[in-house]
Amino acid sequence: MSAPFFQVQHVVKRFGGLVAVNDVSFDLARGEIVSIIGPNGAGKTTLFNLLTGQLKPTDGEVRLDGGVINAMPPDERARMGLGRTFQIAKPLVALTALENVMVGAFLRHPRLRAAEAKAHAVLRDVGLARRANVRAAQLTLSERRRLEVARALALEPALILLDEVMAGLNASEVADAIELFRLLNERGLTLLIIEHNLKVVRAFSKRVIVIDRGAKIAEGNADDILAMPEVITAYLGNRRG
Amino acid sequence: MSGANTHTVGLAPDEDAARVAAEAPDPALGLISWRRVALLYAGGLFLAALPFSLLSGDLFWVNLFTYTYLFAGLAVAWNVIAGFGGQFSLGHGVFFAVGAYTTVRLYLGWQLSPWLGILPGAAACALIGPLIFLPTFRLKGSFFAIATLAFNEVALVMSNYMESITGGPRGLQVPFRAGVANMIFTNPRAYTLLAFGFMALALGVVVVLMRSRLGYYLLAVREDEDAARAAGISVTGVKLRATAISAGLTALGGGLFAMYVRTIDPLTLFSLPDIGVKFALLTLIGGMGTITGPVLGAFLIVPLEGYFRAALGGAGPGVHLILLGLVMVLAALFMRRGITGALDAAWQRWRHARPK
Repeated sequence: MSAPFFQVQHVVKRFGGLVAVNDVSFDLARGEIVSIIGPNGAGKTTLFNLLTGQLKPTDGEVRLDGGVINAMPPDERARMGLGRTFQIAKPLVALTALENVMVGAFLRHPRLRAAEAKAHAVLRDVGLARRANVRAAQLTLSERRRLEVARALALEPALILLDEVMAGLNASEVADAIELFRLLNERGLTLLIIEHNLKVVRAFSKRVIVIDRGAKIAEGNADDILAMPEVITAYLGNRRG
Repeated sequence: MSGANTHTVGLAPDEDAARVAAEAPDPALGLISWRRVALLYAGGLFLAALPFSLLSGDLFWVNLFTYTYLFAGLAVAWNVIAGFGGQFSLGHGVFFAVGAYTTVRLYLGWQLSPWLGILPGAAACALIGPLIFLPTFRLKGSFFAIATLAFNEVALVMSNYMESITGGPRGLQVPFRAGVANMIFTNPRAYTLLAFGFMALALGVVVVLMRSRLGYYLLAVREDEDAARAAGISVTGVKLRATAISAGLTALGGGLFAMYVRTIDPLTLFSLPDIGVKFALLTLIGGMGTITGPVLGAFLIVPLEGYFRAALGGAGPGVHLILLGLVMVLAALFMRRGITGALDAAWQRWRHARPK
């Protein structure tokens, strides 16, 4: 049997005396949708940054298609098929929405017109087609989130890591986003999602990983996990479930 | 750079739409057809040539226009890495000087025609320039500017000592032997044309660059390095390639400058107010990170400086500089986004003030 698509093995990240991520392991198979949940400050974003190459793990291994990528810089990971969004969206504010997405599209489409066509297609997918020629500085918060996703999708990644892309969106926007991610998943995209909104988690990820104080405390089927008392305790701080 | 946009976040939809309508940018360079780009390019060059053709009878203006076109081209070259790439270099005087010294040295030592002798300096700067800058690319903003400024000062000291190449503090003189092959002309208008050609070349390179993947990547790196990396962009690689283009063009300008003035010395070539910082100044006043900004900046400042010097130089030491400083302060106060920004704002106001 070949190695799993993406593996995290006993990953540890220390900042001085603080252990931000403590011995976390999990696998992703191609075509999966997996959510990482956990209370604020649990280490989700730190874990994320270890996967995207923003940070290097103190210990343990991150593997892509079986090869260790611990020291691989973020841009090389992106070229290997790893797309990501930032928790605080990073629009290129002086550029238009279209140009923002073209910056991503150039990775697989080096020619100007091809990148432009790809960017238009992605903007349509995320519902920003009407805003293509607006500068990113003028986009609303939710539009910026969608732009962030669009730029990552334009890379045509095999795996996309989404860091709380639903935060601040209203109910219909969340429904649109879930619909979009489902569609992309059907086309073969693997998704790893950090999400606070448990409704979203339940709606479309089959597998859930729970992080608390840097460690993985549970992993499994979404419905089972969200019913576990220790998860509810960790997540909500008391028993209200 | 990203702080300026927070105020738009919470706008109501109507307000937002109105605002966008008011500030909607024209289609970016990359989205215009090659045909229209070529047309704009030719039209722009025609406009740039117009004032010279009207004043070409007066040798005072011929000289000023030679400098104007030359420094317009140099500012365009500087703008590649500084304006589009966000790397505010104050070390471009080094590339300028390398171009000047190489061209003159090859001509004096090996009788190599400057038409060819100008190329090795440009090639050397395109190859070595990025390597010089490499250690400083980790620095941001003013720290990068200060570090590159230090290169300029180090190179100044070195060129004073390396007498066999640079002629030391006394510099190098090119004897006047007119001839096309020597790039020495009796009619000074030939130099103006040469400088104009250089500006046209620099602009052409930038137009092609900003319609390419590298151009878009350069903008992405300037806007946000983390976001650029996440898009698969090798940030250092992009900076190196843009520096190569910028340094190579600057060296070409340095070579032309040397053949025009025919006497070069370290204090002239590494002068901050006249060379290294001037590229930045012209571009800042014209408009950073725009195609036409550096040219407009040069068209405003270079003739004005020459005119003030001629008209007021006798009135007292430094009077022309005081007046020039005043112009710059006014430009900084009233044209925050440079001449191009001010023109753009005026155009938008006019367009929206028209009765429908």
